[in-house]
Amino acid sequence: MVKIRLKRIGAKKAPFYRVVVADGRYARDGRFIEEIGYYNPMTNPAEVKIDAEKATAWIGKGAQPTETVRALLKKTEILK
Amino acid sequence: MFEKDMTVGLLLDFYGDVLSEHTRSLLYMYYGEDLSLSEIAESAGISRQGVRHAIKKGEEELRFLEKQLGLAAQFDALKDTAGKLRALAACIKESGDPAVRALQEEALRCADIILSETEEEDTGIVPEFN
Repeated sequence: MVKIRLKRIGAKKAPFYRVVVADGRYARDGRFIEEIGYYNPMTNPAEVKIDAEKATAWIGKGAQPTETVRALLKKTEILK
Repeated sequence: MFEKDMTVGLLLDFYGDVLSEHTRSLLYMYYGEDLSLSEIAESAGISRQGVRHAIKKGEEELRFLEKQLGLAAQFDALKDTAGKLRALAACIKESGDPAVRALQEEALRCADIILSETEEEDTGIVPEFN
């Protein structure tokens, strides 16, 4: 199953996440298909940027966002 | 709705080494890779309940450590203050007085040192599995 999830990048003590589309079968090796945005939990309020077009296209194709990503999509009003 | 608190990832940077290798790797999969409990269960070869339990316990421990030691909060405050110092030093108007200019440069340099120490290279944060 294709999933939309967060993937941590960024330095130690400075977490920063990419929003990526990845195949669920390769969950552990960090491979991903496409990067569609980012999420910075360190700023106040947290900074989120997601490509709405790509996100909806992937969801349309059946990609499953994780709970965390779903919350971000709602926050950015890409998902209602 | 249940929501993952991604700031736990930050606590993991500070106190991860205190936890057991096992707990740390589970927490990393959960908060670093955003894997679901069942995905973690599958790759760690334990039950979903087991994963949930370990993550909960690990999280509790991280929060306890932060409550007692407050390193993450302190680090945040330090970063904030260094940023302010930088901004203040940059505010000093161009001065003809070389002594003032030297002080301004020194202040900027100090702020840079503090900020650069907060941005150390990512080393060994991603635990290896299998």
